[in-house]
Amino acid sequence: MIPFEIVDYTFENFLHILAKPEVSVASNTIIKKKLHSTYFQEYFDIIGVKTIIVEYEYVDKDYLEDFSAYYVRSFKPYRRFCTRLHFFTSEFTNKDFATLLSGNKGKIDKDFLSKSYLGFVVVKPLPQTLVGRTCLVTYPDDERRVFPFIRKYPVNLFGISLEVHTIAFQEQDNVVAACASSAIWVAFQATGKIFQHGIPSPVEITKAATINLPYPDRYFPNKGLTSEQIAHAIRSQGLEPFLIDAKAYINFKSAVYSYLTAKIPLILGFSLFEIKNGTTRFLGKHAVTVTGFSLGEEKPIDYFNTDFYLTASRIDKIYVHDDQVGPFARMKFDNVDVTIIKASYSSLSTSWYDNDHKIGSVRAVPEILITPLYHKIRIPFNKLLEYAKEFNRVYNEIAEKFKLPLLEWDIHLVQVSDLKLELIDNPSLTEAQRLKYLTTSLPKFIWKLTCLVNPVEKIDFIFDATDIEQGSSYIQKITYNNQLAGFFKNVFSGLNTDLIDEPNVVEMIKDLIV
Amino acid sequence: MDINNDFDQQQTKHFDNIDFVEIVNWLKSDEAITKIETIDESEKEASEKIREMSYVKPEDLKIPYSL
Repeated sequence: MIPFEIVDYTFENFLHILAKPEVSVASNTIIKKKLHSTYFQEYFDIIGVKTIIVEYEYVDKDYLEDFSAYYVRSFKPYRRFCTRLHFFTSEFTNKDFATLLSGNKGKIDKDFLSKSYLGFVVVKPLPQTLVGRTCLVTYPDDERRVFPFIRKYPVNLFGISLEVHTIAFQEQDNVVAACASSAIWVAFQATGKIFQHGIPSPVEITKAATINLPYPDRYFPNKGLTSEQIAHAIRSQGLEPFLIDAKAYINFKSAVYSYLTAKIPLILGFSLFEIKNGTTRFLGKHAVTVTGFSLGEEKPIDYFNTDFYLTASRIDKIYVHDDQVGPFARMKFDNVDVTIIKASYSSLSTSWYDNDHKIGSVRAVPEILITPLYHKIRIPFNKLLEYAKEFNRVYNEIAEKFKLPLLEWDIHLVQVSDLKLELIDNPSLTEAQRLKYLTTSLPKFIWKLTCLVNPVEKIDFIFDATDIEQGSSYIQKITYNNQLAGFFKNVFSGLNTDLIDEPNVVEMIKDLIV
Repeated sequence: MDINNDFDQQQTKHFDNIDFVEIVNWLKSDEAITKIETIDESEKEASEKIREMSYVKPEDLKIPYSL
């Protein structure tokens, strides 16, 4: 068998490769019906795929783990090798690539391939769930879209070093893993890097999730994981699961912004409903991993009706690795409520097919977010929201009376190394400020409350994220603009801080008037 | 409390022409002390919403995510 093949990209050619007997055992009908096919068609057009290299007989570590744990013991001989499809924005032929591999000078070289590389899709030799480990570039960069925890995946293609910046994706196989196991697997791709732990395969995740919380039913084929089981799987890697109620848009947006900005993923659990011809039909519960967001709202939204404006409220879309749709699938906060037994729930748009194989009428009603945290991150994000809200309330009393500018709050977790990297290159700091901030000893994880005025002038308040909730975890302010610092100093200088109950807010204000 | 102003217009107001002495004096007045000391209902509701963000109902934890 030839080890590779070069194919000009058209969607039909892509489907044709997937249906080849040496690539998968899925039928043409199944491949065409898969939502992934529709998704890849649109995504490949956006990222500009021109050429595919088909790498046959590829050994995929994750599939091999699943294969050795389950498929190998089937009577039917499932194959252990996968096929890997590589995507490029450039055009070249079989002959060009063979010339390069043989060491002769030709039309293309390693640099040419590297510059036009878009990533790969591993195709598993299974009858239906063939989309294995997938690493594709994100949507083209723009200022609104943020994918904070993408990382470098090195790729070796017949000795040619390539790389793709992304976060890996794979479809659940419905046998050793359900959607929740796939969502955890994606989350571990990010936490494995920042919190330094191994990345187990889907079958290992399912086993870890169920070992102490057994089902009344059999484990495999797997029928999904509860939130408790997801939490167990997270603990198996030495991390702490933090649960957030995601029913309200503001909870959802604040949590996504606070943790994702610190490169920490969130697993989102939701119910899916098909809404068509005036009827609402429950489809089931689904889990995905939130991998990015878009700050598309022009103005922040006052969700609390107290003139408390959060940068997080500007989020208009999230991007999720949805194992039933594809990587970086869009879900939109479009203010559509779903009514279920006389109660209304906030919902998001999805890219799921309805009963008629059409996209647009399946809505997601969010329920929970679970974020896997390093055990020393003890202060939750909503504590910081409380501090910011109380500061904002006191300030607004003065602002209302004297027509002062309103504040916007950007609240997120940050690692000390990232904070100092940001400070060392910040041209707004004076020499003395830079020296002071860079040499101050700080905890590894920090909550940063950035107060924005005017609207680009800012002041940061930093808190120890590893502290305990009682008392004050406030560390210090970071000022970038003397005019703004002077403004706050003058505004609060006559304030009796004994009137404020929250010790963190008292310390913030005292620090401003020093 | 509701300042009830357009956010952009209000946020981009400049720092010039602010009489800080007037602010200092007002903060010492009974009116200011009462306003800062008294937390109104909308603020209390907002605080409650924020506190409940990390509360998940036990029944939401039992059903598997399985699609």
